[in-house]
Amino acid sequence: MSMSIDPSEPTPPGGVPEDAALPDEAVLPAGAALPEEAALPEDTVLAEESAVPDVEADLDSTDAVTQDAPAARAAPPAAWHTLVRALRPRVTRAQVLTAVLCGVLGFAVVAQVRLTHDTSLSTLRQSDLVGILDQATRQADELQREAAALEQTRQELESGSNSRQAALDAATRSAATQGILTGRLPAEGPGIVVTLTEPDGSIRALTLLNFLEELRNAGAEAVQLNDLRLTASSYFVTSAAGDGVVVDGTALQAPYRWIVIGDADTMATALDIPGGALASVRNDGGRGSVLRKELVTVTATRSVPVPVNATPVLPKG
Amino acid sequence: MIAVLGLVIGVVAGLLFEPTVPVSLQPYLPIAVVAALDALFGGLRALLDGIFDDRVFLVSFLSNVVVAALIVFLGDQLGVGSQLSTGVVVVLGIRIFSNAAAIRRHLFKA
Repeated sequence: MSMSIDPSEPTPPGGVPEDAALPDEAVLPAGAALPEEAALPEDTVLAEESAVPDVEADLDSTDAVTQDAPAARAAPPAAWHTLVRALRPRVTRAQVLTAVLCGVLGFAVVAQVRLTHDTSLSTLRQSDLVGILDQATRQADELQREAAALEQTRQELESGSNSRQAALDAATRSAATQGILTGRLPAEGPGIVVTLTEPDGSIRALTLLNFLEELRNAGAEAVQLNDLRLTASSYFVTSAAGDGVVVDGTALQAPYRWIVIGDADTMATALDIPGGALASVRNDGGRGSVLRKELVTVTATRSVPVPVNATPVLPKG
Repeated sequence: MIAVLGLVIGVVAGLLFEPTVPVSLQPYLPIAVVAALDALFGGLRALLDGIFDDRVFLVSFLSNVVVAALIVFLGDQLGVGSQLSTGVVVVLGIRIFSNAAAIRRHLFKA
């Protein structure tokens, strides 16, 4: 039970009685004021048996036990009592000193916490800085490589989408052209409007067919007769009643109003030639008037049947 | 109570004055704080042990702080600063835990 200090012990730094002057001054609990020399042997045994039976028993250093044992034996209230008494505000040297040290500690903790919060590179060691720089460089390299790869991918996609766009445009144009030619789409453009009138249904189907052929020869691109779109498969039949014609299954009667898109001058001239289409109409007893227009609109459409037997031949190549 | 008051005052003062730690002290402050915490716990344990002495507390507090900072400083000079800081923190952490265990035994008998 010497009062010497064993450096290996994890004794509290504030609690190690570093010299013999301790018990007399300072703030000691009542229990500690016992005559220690007399009580020592039993206390030590008791303390080791009851108060601190676990592994941490060695924490209670040999010299601390001399004072510790009575306090430990005095049951919980003693410890709490000590704590409460220490908390009671009294202006003693120990209290003021502790307060000052606690204040310093609080100040330092706050300063450090602030420092840690706005961690700047200036607080780091040189080796750490080198490591961070190295890492940052590596990361930048990696990101650059990634950026290059992504850029390449983007260009590939862009050119891909360009060619796809071109193909789409071509397909769209082709679809538009074919849509107009097959009568699937409405169309507009320069052209003529021809109105054929007759007093008594005397214009024959053959005359109208010739009329259409004449228009085609003159370069007509889209033709509408009354509300019907005329295409390559259109046909003209004299109606059974004899007062009109049947075009593509629909009975039509005068006046026949043709809306034709194409070169207006060519078509008008072609219709007007002697012995031509208009002459035939006049021979049938009808009248015709041709109106050239900057813009005519063919609104009528017809649905194109899907070919049942014919399939396209894929271009070889 | 005065001690707690001192701690509160210190924290408030730190918040109010927003101290800037000198660059030369920045590596040592965290270690010093941990060492001071260790001293504080040791003092509390000593109080419960009934052997609290203000002089010892003061000396241990200051010497803890100084020695801890010194060790880290020495480590920095030797090129093992970060490792030594870790070592000091581990040792102080162990001491804080053992002191806390002793305090717990005193207060809760468990």
